[in-house]
Amino acid sequence: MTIKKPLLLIALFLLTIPLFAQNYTISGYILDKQSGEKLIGANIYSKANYLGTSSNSYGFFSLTLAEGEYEIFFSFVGYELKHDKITLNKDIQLEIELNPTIEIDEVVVTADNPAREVESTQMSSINLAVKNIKSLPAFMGEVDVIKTLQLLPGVQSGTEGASGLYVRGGGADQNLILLDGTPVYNASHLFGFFSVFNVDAINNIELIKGGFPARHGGRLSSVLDISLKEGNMKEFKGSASIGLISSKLTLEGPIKKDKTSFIVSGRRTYLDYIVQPFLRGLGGYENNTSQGYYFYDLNAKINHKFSQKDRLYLSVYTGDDKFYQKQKPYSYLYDGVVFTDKSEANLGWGNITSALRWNHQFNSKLFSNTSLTYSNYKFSVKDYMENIREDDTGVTKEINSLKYFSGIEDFAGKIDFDYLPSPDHYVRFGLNNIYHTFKPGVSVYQISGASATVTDLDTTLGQKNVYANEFSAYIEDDFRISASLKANLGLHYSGFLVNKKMYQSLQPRVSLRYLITESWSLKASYAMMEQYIHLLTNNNIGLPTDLWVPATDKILPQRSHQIAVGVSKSFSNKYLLSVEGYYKDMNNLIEYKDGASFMGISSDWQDKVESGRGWSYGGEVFFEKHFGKLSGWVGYTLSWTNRKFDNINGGKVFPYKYDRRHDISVVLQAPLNKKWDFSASWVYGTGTAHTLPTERYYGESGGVDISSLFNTNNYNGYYGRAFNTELEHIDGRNTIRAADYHRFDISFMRTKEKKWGKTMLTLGVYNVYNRKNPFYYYIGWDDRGNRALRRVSLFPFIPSISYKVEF
Amino acid sequence: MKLQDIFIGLILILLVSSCETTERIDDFPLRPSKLVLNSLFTADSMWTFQVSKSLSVLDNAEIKLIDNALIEIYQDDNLIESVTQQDSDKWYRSVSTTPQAGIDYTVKVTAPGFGSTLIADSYVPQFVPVTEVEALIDTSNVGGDEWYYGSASAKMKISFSDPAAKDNYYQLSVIAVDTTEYFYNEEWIKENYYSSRYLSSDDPAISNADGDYYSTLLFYDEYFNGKDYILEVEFEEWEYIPNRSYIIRLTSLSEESFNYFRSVMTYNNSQHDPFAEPVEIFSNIENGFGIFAGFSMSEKVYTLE
Repeated sequence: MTIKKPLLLIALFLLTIPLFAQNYTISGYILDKQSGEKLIGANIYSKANYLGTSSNSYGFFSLTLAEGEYEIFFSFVGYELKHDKITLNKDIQLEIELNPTIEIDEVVVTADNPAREVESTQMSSINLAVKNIKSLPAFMGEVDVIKTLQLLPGVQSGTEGASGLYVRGGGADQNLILLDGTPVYNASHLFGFFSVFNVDAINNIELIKGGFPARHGGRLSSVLDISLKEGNMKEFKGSASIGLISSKLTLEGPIKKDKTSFIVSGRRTYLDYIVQPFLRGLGGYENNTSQGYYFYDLNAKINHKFSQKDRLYLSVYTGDDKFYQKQKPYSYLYDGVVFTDKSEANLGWGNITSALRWNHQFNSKLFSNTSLTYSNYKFSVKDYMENIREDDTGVTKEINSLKYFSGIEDFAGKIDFDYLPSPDHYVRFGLNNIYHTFKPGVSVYQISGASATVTDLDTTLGQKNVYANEFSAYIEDDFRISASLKANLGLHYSGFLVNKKMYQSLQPRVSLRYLITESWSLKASYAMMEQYIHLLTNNNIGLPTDLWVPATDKILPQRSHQIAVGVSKSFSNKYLLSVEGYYKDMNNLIEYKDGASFMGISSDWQDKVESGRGWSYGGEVFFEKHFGKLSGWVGYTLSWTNRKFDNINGGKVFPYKYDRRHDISVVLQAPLNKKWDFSASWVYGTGTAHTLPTERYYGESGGVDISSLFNTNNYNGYYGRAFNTELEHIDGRNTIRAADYHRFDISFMRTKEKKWGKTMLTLGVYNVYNRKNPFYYYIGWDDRGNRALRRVSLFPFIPSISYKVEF
Repeated sequence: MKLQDIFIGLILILLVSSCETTERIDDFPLRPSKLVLNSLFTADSMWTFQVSKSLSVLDNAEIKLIDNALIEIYQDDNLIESVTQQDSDKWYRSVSTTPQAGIDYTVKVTAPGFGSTLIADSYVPQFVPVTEVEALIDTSNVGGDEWYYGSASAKMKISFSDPAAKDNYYQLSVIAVDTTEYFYNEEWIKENYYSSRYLSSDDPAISNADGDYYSTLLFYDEYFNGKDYILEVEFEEWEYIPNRSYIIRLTSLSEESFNYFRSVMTYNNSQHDPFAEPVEIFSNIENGFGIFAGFSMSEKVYTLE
């Protein structure tokens, strides 16, 4: 027998397989039984052959298997496991509802299923359950998404109390923060001490630090994908809370049961109302003057299920911060003339985002989401003064006004497809287009009715709006190569058109996962990212004056390459250990030049910046306990982050401001008894890098006739010699290390079940041992009049209290 | 009532929450003093030097001038003069030599108590005269008041010829010359006084132009190397006076003095801006701080008609 014969037989056998094993698809949605909320990232698998899938951001899943009898398991952390026997002899559409588990006793729900962490090709990412965030100690009792993320390895907080995100050595602008798929440009309230996300309105949070799949693009360092709740489809529910600085109210429910639902959630601070009487009492403020500060945010969402295959969502977020000072008209008599003064000054910033999304299921294997989104961030300053003068000769009115605006506005459309032809492939592809309007700072001055020597003025200064179009297309496939090897391969193409200049980039993305055993996996990834927008920022403390600007013909887009390798290990499905190493290289970063800042608004921002390179490398360890009475995690990061700019620091390498050699976080949660829960967190980080002068000396002060450089407009400016000017020498950027940062926070929560719902009282303490962590340093004077290095700390021991009712 | 008390207590804690302490960072560098040399020189004028010492920013002492330094001036590795003697104003001045344009000089400074020799190099750049000045003044707001004429905006075109041979660096000032008269010792005394005008320019060559006004403009010949050039500047005359004279001063700078002045100007401007990035001041001094740099100044007087 020749060799041809067996080959022919094998070929014939392979060809006949599909004839015998017809494939069918189980598809549908997976939901919370009580609320009808979609469960994102739930597992759906056949236990017999370990073939499975997980639900997407809309709770949709699709699993194609050969004809036969299966026991299909549906699982999601915090929910009871469900399994159904299914005879698969045709395509099946399901709507699976899972019951939330009762949180006492055995199962305390925290984060995601460890098995999924091990199984998935996605590395450097974490899904946080909102329940988890809500029970952690919170700064001033304000539960904060971003502050919880800062407790994870690889994520830095920036300065004390700030809600910035600095991921793997990247800047504050390198995070793609998506709220229901819409980018949010300034995620800070109160100069960055709080983030804009109200956890009562959030369903799911996912942070990706590396190994970016091709569906994401546009930022270098992280993707923070926040999905809002959709509103309870079953019954009307609500919650209200009162805390130290703000109150919250959330209402949700069906408009038509199982068809249409809504959710509205709002929060407002009331510090201004409380402080107002104190300010008056302290004196110095006239009774006709009111001033204060507040922020608010409001989330609203409505969704409607047209059919099993079509669903529409409309979500809106709006939030503002405002400082105000208002002086009511105040009249006084002087020299026979009645003067009336009135003034008003505001400083405010805020975002509006909205998204209209349409889910459509073409068939059991193809799902699409089409979105139209709008995002607007604006910052404004207004200063208005009015002076009316009345005497025998008549009435004159003088107005002095200054307004300043800046911001960014996006209109975007995108379509994403999920195609699941078999359990071995999960294909995603899509298109995205964003039309940006950058508003880099405009001042409007108005003067009218002023004295005869000053001309009336109504003028607009500043830079023109810049319009840009950003577009992208992607394709990725998460596919099983063998029982132990899985890969996610993808390509992300993007382009940016600004001022007739076109930038394009084709970005390969690769993630590999190799299962060593069922509970051990080895992962590796490479991602190239391109970012067409920059953030001009001083000190990176999240001031609202931070300005988003586009890449231009002078300022190139930012680009990064990141490689990461790691292992994930799950221990008896209760513990997860993840160890990762990464290297990230970033090009065309921008920094302000020496001496530059956002002040001096009339000049072109491009003249104020330098471009350079940055790189970061390090290792991260994350050990988490999901289940049991005691849960929580320990995170450790060892990292190095540097920058190099030709014209900064004399072209020499310098550490990034948030370069931290060691970063540790320990988070614990435990029920004390049936009523009380306890949680605590401790963080430690190497001091951040600061620039401070080390020496002082006389500058060139004259001696020759060039002194007018420094000393003008005096009688001696031409012939004389000026004073000796003292100058301060800095060794270079970020050469001084601040003292280490560490802080211990605790929280106790008492839950009382009532007939109509439950009440929760939370008592917390921020900075329990009153560590004076450095906020910034300067060279000043001590109490004895000696020169000294002064440390300014912000938040000492701060107790907090909040009370919440859920009905 | 109890809850209210808790609230007020907590708010008060918040209001006084920020605090300040004196820090002792163990590795904050407490540097020993270094020699500081300040010397700007121009052709055919005596060399002048100021020698002082640097102090740590945490040192309470006042900065002292050094009065026992030895200053050696070299041309092509040959010592041309040693300067040891201070004048009464504590400046060191050469006695026998003056700098010449286009020659590279090296200076070495030593002083008792300072281990390392301070070394620096520079040159006197070529003299570049202002060839022509043209001025346009908008007097539409000027009234006929005897005491106050009103304000006026001025535009000035300043012409010069940039030498082709190498990179040339410049500084420009416009100085108004006014006369004041006062009664002293039973007689009226007339005296000139000088005040720099705050200039603005849209010229892309201007290094410190950011739409603001400066008393001096710094620029180099990146865009006009070896060409005749007309630089346009604008300034405001808050008090217009007819027939006022101006000194147009164009200083040709060595690269060192340009970098130094530019960084010092940025430094000075940044002192008023709490958000400004820190500024590293340029120095061409080895083993010390300061500046050793040459310049050539040209002036032209222009009187408004």
